[in-house]
Amino acid sequence: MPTVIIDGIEYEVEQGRNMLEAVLDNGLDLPYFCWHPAMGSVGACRLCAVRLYRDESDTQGKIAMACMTPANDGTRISIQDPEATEFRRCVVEWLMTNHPHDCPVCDEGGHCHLQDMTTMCGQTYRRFRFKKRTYTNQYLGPFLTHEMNRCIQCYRCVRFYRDLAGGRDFNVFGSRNRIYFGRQRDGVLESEFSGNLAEVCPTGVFTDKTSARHYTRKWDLRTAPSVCIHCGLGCNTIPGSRYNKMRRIEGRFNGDVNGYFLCDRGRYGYEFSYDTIRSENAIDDAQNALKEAKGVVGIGSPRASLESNYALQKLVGVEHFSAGLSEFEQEAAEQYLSVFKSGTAQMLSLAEVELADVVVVLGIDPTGEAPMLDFAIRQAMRKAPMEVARKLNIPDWDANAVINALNGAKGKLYIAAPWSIKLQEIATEAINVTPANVAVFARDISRGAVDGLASGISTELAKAKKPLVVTGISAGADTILAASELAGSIPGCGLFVTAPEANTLGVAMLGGQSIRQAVDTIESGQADTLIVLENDLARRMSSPAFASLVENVKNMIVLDCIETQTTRAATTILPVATFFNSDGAFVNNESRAQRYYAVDPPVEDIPAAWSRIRDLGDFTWAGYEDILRELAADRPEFAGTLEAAPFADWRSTANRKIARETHRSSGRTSKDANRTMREPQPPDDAQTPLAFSMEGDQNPPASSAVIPRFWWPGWNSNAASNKYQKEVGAELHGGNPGVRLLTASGSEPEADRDKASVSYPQPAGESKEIWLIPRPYIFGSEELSRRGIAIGELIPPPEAAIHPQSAQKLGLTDGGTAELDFDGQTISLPIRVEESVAVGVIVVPMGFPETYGVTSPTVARVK
Amino acid sequence: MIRVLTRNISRAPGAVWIDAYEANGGYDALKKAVSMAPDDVIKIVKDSRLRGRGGAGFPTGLKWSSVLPLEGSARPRYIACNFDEMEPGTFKDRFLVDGDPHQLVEGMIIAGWSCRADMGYIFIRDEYKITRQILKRAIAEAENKGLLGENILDSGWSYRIFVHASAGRYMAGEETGLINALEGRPAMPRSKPPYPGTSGLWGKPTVVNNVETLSCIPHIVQHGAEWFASLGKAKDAGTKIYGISGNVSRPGCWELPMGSTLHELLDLAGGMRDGFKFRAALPGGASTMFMDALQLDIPLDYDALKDAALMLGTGTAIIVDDRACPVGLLANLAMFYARESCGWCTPCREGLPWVEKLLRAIDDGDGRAGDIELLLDLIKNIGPNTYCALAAGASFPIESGIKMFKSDFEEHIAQGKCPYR
Repeated sequence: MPTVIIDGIEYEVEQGRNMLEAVLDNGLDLPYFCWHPAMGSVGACRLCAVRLYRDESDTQGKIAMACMTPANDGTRISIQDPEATEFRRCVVEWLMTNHPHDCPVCDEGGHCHLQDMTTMCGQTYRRFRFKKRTYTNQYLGPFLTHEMNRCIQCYRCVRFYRDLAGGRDFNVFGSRNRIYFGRQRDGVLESEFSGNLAEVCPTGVFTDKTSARHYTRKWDLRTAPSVCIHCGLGCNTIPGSRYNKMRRIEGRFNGDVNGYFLCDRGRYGYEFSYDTIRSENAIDDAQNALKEAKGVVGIGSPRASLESNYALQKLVGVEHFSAGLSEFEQEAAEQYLSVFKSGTAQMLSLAEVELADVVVVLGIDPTGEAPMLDFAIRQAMRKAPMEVARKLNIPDWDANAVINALNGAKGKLYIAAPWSIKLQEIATEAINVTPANVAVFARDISRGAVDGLASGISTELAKAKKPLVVTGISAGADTILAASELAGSIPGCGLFVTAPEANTLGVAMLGGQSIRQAVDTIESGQADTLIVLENDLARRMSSPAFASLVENVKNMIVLDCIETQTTRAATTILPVATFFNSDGAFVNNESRAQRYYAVDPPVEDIPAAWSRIRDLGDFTWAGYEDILRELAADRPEFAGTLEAAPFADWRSTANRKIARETHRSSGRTSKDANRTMREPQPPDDAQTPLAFSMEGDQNPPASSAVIPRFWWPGWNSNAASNKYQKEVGAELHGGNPGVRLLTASGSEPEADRDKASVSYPQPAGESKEIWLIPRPYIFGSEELSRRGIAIGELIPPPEAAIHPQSAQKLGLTDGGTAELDFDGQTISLPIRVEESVAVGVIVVPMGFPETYGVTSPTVARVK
Repeated sequence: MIRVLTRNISRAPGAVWIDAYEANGGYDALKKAVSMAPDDVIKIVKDSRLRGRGGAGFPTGLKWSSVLPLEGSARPRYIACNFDEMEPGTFKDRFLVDGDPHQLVEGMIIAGWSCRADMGYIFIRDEYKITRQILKRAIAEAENKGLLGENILDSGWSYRIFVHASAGRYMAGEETGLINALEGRPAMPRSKPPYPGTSGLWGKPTVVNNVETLSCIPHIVQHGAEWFASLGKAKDAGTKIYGISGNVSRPGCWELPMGSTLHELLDLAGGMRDGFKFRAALPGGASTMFMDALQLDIPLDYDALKDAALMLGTGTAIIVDDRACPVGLLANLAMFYARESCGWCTPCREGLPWVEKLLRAIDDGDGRAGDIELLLDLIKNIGPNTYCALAAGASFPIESGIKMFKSDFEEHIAQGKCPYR
């Protein structure tokens, strides 16, 4: 490890760092704007100026930018040097010549990196006496407010948007002091990661527009460590609320999962929480129904916590419990679990995906299903040819020099999917094939096809340093099996399998019947009562099957926080707390158990689902942790969940709970004064080591799983995260949160080909039959987020996409209507004829009300 | 008078084209170079002590050897000729190319041979539209004679030259800004290291040389390093195209031995125009420090000027006379630099407009006590700490000007108006 000298003191740093990183890694302060731990150095802002000495004997030194100075052994700098200190102040003074002094009305105020750095540099007096520059702002869609007058031209936004996220509709325009960051014209930003502009912008140019509707300063937010519920990747989040209302979501750094960033679904999906069920408490009805029931079946849910699902399993018994997955998903999830346990391939984390150099995507659409996987693959492709730059002695952090040296070179990305996924724009080659043929294609690669694309991919995978195969539960059991065979056939090859929902893998691990079997139990009369946990069954079965179930069940007790077709069909509704108001664990796609903590206490006494279930049965659990302990004792593979995050009796090093509210939380004694002049007792949280109030420890907790916000004296913005990390941009102190539950046991994967083939009914030769495939969209396909106001604006119109050849064969025309018969139901959608879908398939949006019942690739007849 | 670079420049019809050029020994140097190993050509250029004529004075041979070793280095390799010539007061490169385009083309080819380049780009200022046509014809002539293109002079080496018009920013004349501009990006500078010899145009080894620099090459190769070195009067080698503008009797440019003085140059220009007195000069374009009447006999070469805390720059002097308001002049200069800032780094982008506003305010009679100190404070911090040399170039004339013309500044502020108006 190199030793560097900072203001006369020696510090050890990791190999390959720059001096700004060296300073921050060692817990020292040095202001910066344009550098970002995930984006490297470009030397634009000139704020991290220090005095750099040649060696011990050099007393003169020169001013240099720490971010552009390699931290070699013996590198000697001074941060406190008067001239460097004065220069840093000057940089802020220059930026302040044009920055509006509108902090009181700026949404960034209070968590503004510019405010922090201005204070840190000691710029207090304005010498500039001329007019400020003004810009025209743009409409950028429902997620972000654009206020260019605040811009300090750090170039982070355009670098994030273009270099990292691969967006093309946002750029930097103009020159000199008229530099402009925006779109060529007003319009909705096209990138799925646009919300991160608010994250990377050091000031208030890009701010959260959804949050502006009910704005709250960071210091007034009640925040808690949470996990995103809108897909199966388990990105870590920090939701913030005030007056028991969700205000915004920000990313929570997790070096193993999402790093600093979130997708727009994860960031803006929270608005679903405004549209929840508040019906009468019908617990007595439910209890009576259960007493009189002739057999009870419980259907769990991949969007409910592990605790609630297990509670339900205990209530109804394993033999009467369904994980709540569709047939197709259940089968694929089971296949995935068996592959995982077999250890045929190395299962990667999302962060590890970024290290791959050759990637094969099989049968899934990361952008629509698990957007941060799209982002991770883009990073992998960007970094893959890094060796070119290293050979020229260009350090990895010298971002623009790397871009110039690489000259557009990318890693190799191959895609086989039923439609042209967005990642195709950076793919080496991509083919559109039917779902069943994705597996065929994968096997062609692993079995060494003699020529063609499969053979080429096989060669590239063999040559790769870090090969990776990506697929997902939504691609079906057979594709997962084929993908694992492919990954297993290449030494060192990683496998990454997505899961559609936040806890799909958790419920799959719990096991149980498929929904189909559960419904059969009802319809055959073996049971007459159904308990549904946070699950809209209409999304998971065909409409006639759902109608038949509703017809045949005597009592349908539905626990949910939102209104769905299932709650509308319920005989008894038990409203339950949203995940913002309850605690629990999710198991993400790589079997990482992660705890989310309630942001707010339950509203109007609507409790968490597990507690409803406790009340339905004869249980003595005091809290969700009792359920988890029971689960871990019962099922050893869940033991890791106990380690994933601390329980209620955990205390900080100061022997205190962690405060969800900040020490500056205003209105501490008066915010409820419109209702009562008495100062109400802050709500108690007996369930967790966090307090709902400002009383508690404000310091970074020793356990990274209970970080409620990133804050440090002088660092009010999220950049404070550098104080929570061992090395800036790397692992958190105390390790990254979450514990992986599954390990490879070396068993052979179960390969039930006959069973697998069930997933893929083949279209008969009959000319009117075609594959009907649901396509996940980032906005609209996920059940909860589509209820959000902002996301609601961006849901595309439901259309059926078909290849011109197939359209001609079936007599369908662009703009006409497709009437599709399948599983006894008919849907009709406007037709879009385009070459971006495979021949022989018709692609419809997944999870739209117009396409309920299309749960998996199936065969439809065109009317 | 010695004529090396300008020896073919005449008003005779057809003097610019290849027949005249070859008749006068043109392309002999190329033939000689192609018979030599590239390393040996580089050695001659190194030994000649030729320094870059664009303003920075970087040793050309050293720059060429930055692409070495050639084994294992990336391809294609590029030679880029910097013909942006946007330095205020500078008009030497156009003079050279309009009069003798083949001299540049030959220099480019020899540079290409020495670095085993695959392609050459002449990045030319957009306003030089006629010059562009002249260059294109010269390149076509050279191609027709097998001096350019495939298998040049049966050497087995192929090389092509393209003329690329600038989109028109001062920053496009900065070495790495030029590279970005050639790539079709905004003309913003790149950080060094990596130097263009390592990772330049499209990430490949690239040498960027000024027109005058490349024009020296054929003569160096033809007549040898010692001969070239001996041309200089003082320490620096070769001849230099010096120029002069301002209120002198005959503004223009002349080829003189390196190390001639501004005094000699003023004499060639016929002295000041009637009614104007010499007051000061910017010896090498706008990005150099002011020199006064007492400094007229300092040899105009890199080292002598450096010893006097001055700079040679492009060697084309701007003369300031006694009737020009120095405050207004500096305000105009500041306006140029603030406008031509690329916008990448803070001190230049935000600092220079402030300097411009202050200078303009003083010139307009809105100066305040403390403005001079504020200006000097700003310049002191802006100048040395930016991403590239543009702001430093701006700070040289402004800082030295404020000091040299301090009384004018004080008068402006005290009277609340410009005494020259």
